[in-house]
Amino acid sequence: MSMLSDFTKGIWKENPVLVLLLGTCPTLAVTSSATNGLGMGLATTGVLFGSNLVISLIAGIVPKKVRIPVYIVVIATFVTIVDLLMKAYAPPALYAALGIFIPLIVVNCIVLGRAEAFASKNGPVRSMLDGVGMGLGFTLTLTMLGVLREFLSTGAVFETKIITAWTTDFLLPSAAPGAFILVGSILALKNYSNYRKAVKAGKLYVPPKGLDCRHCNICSAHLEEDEK
Amino acid sequence: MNLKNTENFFVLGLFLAVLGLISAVLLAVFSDIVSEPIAAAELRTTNEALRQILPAFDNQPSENKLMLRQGDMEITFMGAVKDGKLIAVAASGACKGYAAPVQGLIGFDLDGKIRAVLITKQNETPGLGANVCQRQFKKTIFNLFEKRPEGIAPNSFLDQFNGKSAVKGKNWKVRKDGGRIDYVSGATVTSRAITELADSVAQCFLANRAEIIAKLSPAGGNEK
Repeated sequence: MSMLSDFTKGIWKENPVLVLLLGTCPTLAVTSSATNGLGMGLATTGVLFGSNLVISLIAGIVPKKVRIPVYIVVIATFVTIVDLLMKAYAPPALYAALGIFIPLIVVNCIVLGRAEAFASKNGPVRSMLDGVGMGLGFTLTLTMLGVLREFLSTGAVFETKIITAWTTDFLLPSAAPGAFILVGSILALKNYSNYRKAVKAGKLYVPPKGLDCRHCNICSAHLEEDEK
Repeated sequence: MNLKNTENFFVLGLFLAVLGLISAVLLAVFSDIVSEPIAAAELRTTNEALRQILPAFDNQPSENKLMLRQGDMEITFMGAVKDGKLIAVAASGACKGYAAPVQGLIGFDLDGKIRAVLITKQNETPGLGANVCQRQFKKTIFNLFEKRPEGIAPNSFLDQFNGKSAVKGKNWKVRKDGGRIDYVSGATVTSRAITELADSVAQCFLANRAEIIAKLSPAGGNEK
């Protein structure tokens, strides 16, 4: 695979939210407004970049038996750094809105998933590209979802009213159930378009290789190696 | 020795210990570096809030403060000084809200009249309880590039308290509880919490007014 596709695959083909279905907790919880989605996405991108880089560098010496705790320590270090940076330099309203979800990036499956599935097996440059690509894919999806939810509930985008006559908030999209409904609809649309594409080409629709449950390389890769 | 495939218990433990140590040292150094910007950012946030509810002042109110207790609520009074005279007092307290404590900042004139109520920290339901707490100027695409208006943004629930002063033995209550404060339907719990918060703080100010003014006045000023 070329370097470019390492970077771009996270944005659409292997989008962490819409294809890998990772990191659903922050996706549903913080995207009640576009600003929050963007802030959360950028924070996660920063962590992904740092953790992927360091993990790809140390992967050669990490004992296999303790690799998960090692990855968690590395990720937690970067999350704490991002948290402190946001406390110091991010707008106070954004930091207050994201609150507990910044420390929770530690247990975000995207970060650990990329460490295990990509950074531990590839060199630092490709891992960095992968981290930033995945992070940007996450950021774009979260921002899009935030824009949708904010617009559907208040008629505003980035706290700026587009439809000025919209005075009473419609609460469903800004609450958790609305997020589930929207994410579900987007997933259905994406799968349907993939299915249509396959049918038009006269083929049977199969999920991207390595991404369905049987072939998912995130949790089974090391098991296969052990079996050998 | 092959570190990658080792199963030696002590080597594994040592590896984790060394990694933890490196990470701890890194974080200690980093948090030391950013501690100053963090303190500055916090001070900026506090002053931003204080400037909204107090008249123009020239001291640092968050350093000119007095802690008092009212029931089980801890209230911090902060004095705003201008030209060596105490001109107004801000009080901050917290009260149980719907989800998490609601933290408020209330500005008082020296005679006990409330200048404005500002909610500084809340985690109420977005769209319902949160609307009761938020003061925000409406931004639209039509006034995006206009200058933001000066002063404090309106909020019809919080503005009810403006100009009120506490009366001894008479607590403020929302209409649902037989009081005279209008509450927002769908956000009764939050309305109640803020009313209780404002009431406790105002009662505390009423009961301890002499002490507060004496303690917060700069030496030599405010003799009446």
